[in-house]
Amino acid sequence: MKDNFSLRIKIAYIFIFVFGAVIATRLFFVQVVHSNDYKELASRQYVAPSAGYFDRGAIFFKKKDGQLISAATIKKGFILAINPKILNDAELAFTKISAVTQIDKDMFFKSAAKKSDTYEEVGRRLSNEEADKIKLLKLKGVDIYSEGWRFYPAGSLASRVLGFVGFNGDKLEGRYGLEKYYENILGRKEDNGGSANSFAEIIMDIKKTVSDNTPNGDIVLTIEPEAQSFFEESLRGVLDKYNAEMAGGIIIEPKTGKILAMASVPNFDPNAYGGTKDLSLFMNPSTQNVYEMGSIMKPLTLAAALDQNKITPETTYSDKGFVVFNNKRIENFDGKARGTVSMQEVLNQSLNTGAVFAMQQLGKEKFLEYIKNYGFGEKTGIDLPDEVQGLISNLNSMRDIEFATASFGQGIAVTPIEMALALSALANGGALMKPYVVERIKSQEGLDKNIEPVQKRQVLKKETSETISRMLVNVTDKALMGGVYKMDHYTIAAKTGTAQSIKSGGDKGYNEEEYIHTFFGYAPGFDARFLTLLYLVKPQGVKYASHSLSEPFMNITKFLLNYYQVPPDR
Amino acid sequence: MVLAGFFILFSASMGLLTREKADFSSIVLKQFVFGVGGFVALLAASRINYKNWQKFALLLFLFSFFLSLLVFEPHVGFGYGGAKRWINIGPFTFQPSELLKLGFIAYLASWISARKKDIKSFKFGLLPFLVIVAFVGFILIAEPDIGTLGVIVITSALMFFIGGGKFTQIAVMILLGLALLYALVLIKPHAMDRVQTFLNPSSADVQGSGYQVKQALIAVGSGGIYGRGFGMSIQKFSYLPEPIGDSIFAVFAEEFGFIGCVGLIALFLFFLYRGFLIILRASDPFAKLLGAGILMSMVIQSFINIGSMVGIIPLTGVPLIFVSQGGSALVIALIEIGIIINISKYG
Repeated sequence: MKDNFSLRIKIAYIFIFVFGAVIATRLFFVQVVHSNDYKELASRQYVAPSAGYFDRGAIFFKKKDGQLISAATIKKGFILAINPKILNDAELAFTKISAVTQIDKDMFFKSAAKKSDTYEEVGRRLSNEEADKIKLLKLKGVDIYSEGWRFYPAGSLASRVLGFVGFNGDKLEGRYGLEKYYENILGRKEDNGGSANSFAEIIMDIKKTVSDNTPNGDIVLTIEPEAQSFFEESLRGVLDKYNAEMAGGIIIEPKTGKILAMASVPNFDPNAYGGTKDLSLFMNPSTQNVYEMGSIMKPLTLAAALDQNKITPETTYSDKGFVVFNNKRIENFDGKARGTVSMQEVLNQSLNTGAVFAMQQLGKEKFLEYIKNYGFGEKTGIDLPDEVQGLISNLNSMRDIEFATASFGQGIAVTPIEMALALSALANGGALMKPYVVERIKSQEGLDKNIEPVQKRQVLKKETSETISRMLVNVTDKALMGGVYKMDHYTIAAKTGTAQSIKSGGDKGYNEEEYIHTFFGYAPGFDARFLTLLYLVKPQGVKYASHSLSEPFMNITKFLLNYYQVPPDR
Repeated sequence: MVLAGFFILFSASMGLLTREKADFSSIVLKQFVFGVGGFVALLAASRINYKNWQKFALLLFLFSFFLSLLVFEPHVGFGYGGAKRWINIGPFTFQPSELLKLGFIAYLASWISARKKDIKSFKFGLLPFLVIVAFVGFILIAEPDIGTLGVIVITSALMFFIGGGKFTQIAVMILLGLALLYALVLIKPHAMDRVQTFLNPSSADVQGSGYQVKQALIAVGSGGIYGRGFGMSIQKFSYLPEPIGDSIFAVFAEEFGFIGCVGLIALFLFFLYRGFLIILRASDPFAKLLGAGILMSMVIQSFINIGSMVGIIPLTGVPLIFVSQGGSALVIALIEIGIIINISKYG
């Protein structure tokens, strides 16, 4: 009996202990995990029960040393509102408030005249000090409410990647860019918190903590703010210098697919996106537009032929200056014949006929296979919204002329991000990577999620990657603007491209005077840390990309080598 | 026991201090008077041989039962906040259900210990037990004081279990209890309201019965890990109903945060643990059951209070032992401690 009693009393104790533990668990979620929600609710009601409550996850840039720099955050302020029903002396109120903060006079008196209303907003985004001063005035019928809004501390920096938060119907949510793509992580449900729930909530809280898809979190970008900033300045310089329509580009880590910088100018200020008239500025052309990329395609064509052992850098062919397919004549950029030339010279002098030769050595079927393997015509899967895929369907016709033009980058149009990833395969040993902009999701419930690099497939053999890199380093050292950009201590692989732009309006054919300049390069040439792709749409007064983009590319590359303290490789 | 005593002093004074800033000095004085009176009662109770409780258990139970009936008598009964739970005695109001709790536990302890052989049978064990509980239940439902009823039902079920009840019987009791609870909320609008609030917090009227729960949660949640700091509660000034009564835990949580709350829960569990050690040493079955009943009722009541503040139990009007303001609750609690002390001495 005695032992029985002590056993039973132990069971009773355990019962009560579990009760206490359940309460403690609940307290943990209320006081630790969701504490900020309740604090916000509390401060809301201390000021006044306002509907201006706004919360959203933060976005961070990540500096090279790991330091997080705020890219998007919440700023808090106050709404100034009047209650016309009990506001007796509008004149006096206006005079007193005007001494503290600027308010629109007409609007104020118009609002004050609506005597049947109880709530009229007359000022927004007031600072803490202003709100305190107005509260001290103790004006009857003048109220202060707290509010929050999205704020981008870096202004327009990376705005076409970040996007912004705006109203979609009556719902405030991410409209473009990362804000849209990561809406489910950054967005906060308004009704969470403040409601007393049952055990179900405890279980839900635990589930959220354990499970993978955490709804509430912050995101950390792969984008390096210093590099992004330098990149945008350089692009803006080119845009202004050549009075172009747009300048854009991507800096990517070829081995991982991490985007270090992605920009296109002109861009917009997400803090005041309402002032932007041209809505196309909200789009990200690097993932949402397709371009005919021109001669930067040639290294991809040659690499494919090298990979199948159909050519070597020393292979020669006879250049007549033109070739004819399906009654259409294809010429070199200058129309001149060069006689017997090597594949290296095809890259150095950017010979269209040579690219066609390499493609022919490979054969149309194999060429098409490589084009698809490079990821053209396929979404890269980058974590940005509304990505489009390249247009390569004209190759399905198997017409010779389509393949001939495709070999030097005409006739097929691809997105800059597709191009950057395909070119990365030249630099990284032949792997096609999946690009990404967000490298960590910081969960409010505790378990962070790191995004790891993903290799989609092996496109080229490792040796092919080395051979083509050597050829492209040779381009920089010997051929690019006569070799003036050669760096003594670093190998840099690069290639320019100039394409006539598609006539707007859908006619088939090309604009004689409108060009797209492209440029890509990576450094160091045999162990690439970063690959830079630049594109310049409709530059004026300059014909070739080697003239317009070589210098900005070199400046960016020098900056990166210096900033990341990359050791010399020769 | 010294530790348990320290715990009482600690939390009682903490309660007093927390309150000091929240309200008028008259309340502090009143609570102080009750505190002193309670300690006198504690000393007295610790000197009364616990065996006397066994002798007078039935009498005490009937007396408290009678007092509880008095709340319905309009001359002395006193309604407040939608419930009739108080009676007037001179300048003080008194909540007889507090005494009823003690009386009931004492009676149950003596009853179970007297029939420990029969307890396993249905006819002589479970059935009479249920009848006794039903009597008490009836009056508490009529008041209504569902919270105290909950405390009594859970405590008595555990006492029945400790006293030797069969597992199957316990299971039947739990089912029966749930069925009754369901029937209860269907009949009583007051209880129905709160259960509705509990199950469906967002749809319920925010200014009505959902209000207190919501405000309590805001207070608890805004305490965060470390709390706002002693005396810094904002909620207690105007938002939280009954900041020094049933809602005092929310104020405590806001000021002392998660760490303080877990500490408080741990203290209650430690108190129960120390108490159980004492009664395990006692040789007399009545002493054991009485002690266990008292200890469990105190901790369960506190947990029900905390649980309803954090929204895992429907809101009930039970005070947090030692901490809430409430004269009768404090005095009874201290008398109960006195009984435990006596058991530790002579049991």
